[in-house]
Amino acid sequence: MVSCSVCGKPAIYSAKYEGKAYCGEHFLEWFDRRVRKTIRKYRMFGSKEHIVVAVSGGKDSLAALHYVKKLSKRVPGWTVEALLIDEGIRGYRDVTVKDFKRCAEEWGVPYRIVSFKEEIGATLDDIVKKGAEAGLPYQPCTYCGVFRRYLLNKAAREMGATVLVTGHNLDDEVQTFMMNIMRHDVERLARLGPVTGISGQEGFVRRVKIFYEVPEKEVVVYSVLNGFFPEFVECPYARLGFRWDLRHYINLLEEKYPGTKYMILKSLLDIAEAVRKGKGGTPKRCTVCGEPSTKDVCRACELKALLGIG
Amino acid sequence: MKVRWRVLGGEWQETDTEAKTVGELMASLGLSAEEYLPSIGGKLVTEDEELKEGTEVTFIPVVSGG
Repeated sequence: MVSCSVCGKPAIYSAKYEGKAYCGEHFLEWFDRRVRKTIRKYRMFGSKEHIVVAVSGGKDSLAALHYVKKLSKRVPGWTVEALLIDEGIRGYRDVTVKDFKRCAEEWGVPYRIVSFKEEIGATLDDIVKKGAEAGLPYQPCTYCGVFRRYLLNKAAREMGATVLVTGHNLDDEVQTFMMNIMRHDVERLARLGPVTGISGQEGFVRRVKIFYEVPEKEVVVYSVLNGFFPEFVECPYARLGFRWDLRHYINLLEEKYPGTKYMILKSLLDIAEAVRKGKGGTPKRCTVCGEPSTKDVCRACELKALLGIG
Repeated sequence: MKVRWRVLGGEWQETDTEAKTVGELMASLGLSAEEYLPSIGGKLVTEDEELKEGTEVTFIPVVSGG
């Protein structure tokens, strides 16, 4: 049996990449210390913030909401709300919405739910059908990602958010970086980082990833130890995306060579900074909807036109 | 040695195994330690946890389905 590197009690988790193990109590201390360090290092919050946490009902975003709500009790100038985007995925989102509402009510967090159907003009299920009928080359995750990011910013701004927190973890970021490399999408690569988006532009809510340096596995441990690990339900479109295969390969490498994910993250930070200097793109406003964009017409309006919706 | 295991939310299965630890069991079942967290009796355990006859292991999926 492995012992906790701090107190010697039986460990519940081994962090192989740093050669240490932790019992439940010391895992939570270690987790908290690292997240607070990330928040400080990237100057994610000020002393006065209206924080909106983007939630899906999955374990990453619930963990982000749980963590921020707990931290906010120590900061009098912070208020916390949650925002859920209902994409309209039958048999999936309805389950996670239930988990989310249960937690939000238990933790006393006010929330807003915004749906694709009302705001974009169609559910994701309908969009996927329309896209196939129109012969568009996109995977469901493309539509979902574009419209979700678009609505998160718009709704968070309407809620008066000064900062938008997402539950993205180390694994998500490493996967996105590798996807951008494999697709030669240098412009998107340049936008990656712990604090993202078209910063400083009016209409854009700054987006921060508090679990940027935390592996996905450790977010699960956090949610299990805090008793809110949600019911496991898989998005029907998840296995169709490039990310599904890629994350498995990265996980195989991490298992064989612990620390691989952190090394990729370090490369990401250096490369993204270097690329930003030359290729960042100038912030603009979309000429169709007026939302912040790096192009004349934002990606959401471009897709809506191709799909004939909205 | 016979042990019982399941992936959280799935059915219990019984396996006759030569694995001495949870990590060896995971390897024999083809479950990546990066993608599943083992627990016994509702508590998380490390991969070095020793197996005994009749041990029941639940694997919690790390990868979210969305």
